[in-house]
Amino acid sequence: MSGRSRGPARRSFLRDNSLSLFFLALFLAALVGHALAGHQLYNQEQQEHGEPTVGFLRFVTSSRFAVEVSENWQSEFLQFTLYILATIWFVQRGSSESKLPGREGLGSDEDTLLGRHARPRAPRWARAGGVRTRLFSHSLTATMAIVFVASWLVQSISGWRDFNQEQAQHGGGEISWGGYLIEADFWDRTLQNWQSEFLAVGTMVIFAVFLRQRGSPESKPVGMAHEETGSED
Amino acid sequence: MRPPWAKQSPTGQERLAVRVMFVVYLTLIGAGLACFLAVALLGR
Repeated sequence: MSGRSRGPARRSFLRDNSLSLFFLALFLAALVGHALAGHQLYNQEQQEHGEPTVGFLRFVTSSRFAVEVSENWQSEFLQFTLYILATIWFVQRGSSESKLPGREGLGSDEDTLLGRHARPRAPRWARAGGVRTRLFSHSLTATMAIVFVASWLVQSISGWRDFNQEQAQHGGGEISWGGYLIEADFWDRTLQNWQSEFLAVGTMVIFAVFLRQRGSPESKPVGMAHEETGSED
Repeated sequence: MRPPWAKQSPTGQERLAVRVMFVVYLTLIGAGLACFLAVALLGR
């Protein structure tokens, strides 16, 4: 405990991690709300079609709930994957979300504090060189991309199961997973999420040029000129 | 001005707490996807 009492240690934990804790709490609350509302809606639809209703536990372990959650997850992780990648090579003059025009690209070892430029407390793989440093240098994008692909795969499988259950209820024939990938239902679920993510990201990039939020690191300082790019050294 | 605590380097316990948050998020995502995949593969 390094001579500290538990009270300050707990306060320190909450203060140091308040941003990730805040979003974790919001996520859990929204997920529970989604499950409750989704369950009610599902049973309303079942009643309208003269089908039996299901219990809450049965609903949250159904393909319907799985596809609805995973279709949103994949689009969010795609958004961040693309954002991290696009900001390597594309810039927006004046935006706090962008590097300076002329600084496009992966940057030098010196810029990215790699190898002999690594700071004393740098992660071991930043200093190691070779494959380990290359892997670590792209680990954020790689992890976000893996979660995106995994979520999209889960969406496709759970969506396929849900689609076939709907077909069965309406007297239609079942289709294969491959067949579902070219169904309008799969692309409707996918693209309705993608369009909103891309709009939100593009909006943030360009709004950050002319608008400010005092106190937020997502904004340029309030008094900074519109044409000054936010992440300038 | 940054508050005085922000200038101190973090203690081992504080560094561990940040790692715990990282693992919580990673576990939540991995477990969530695994559960949804299992549900779909079981044909529920």
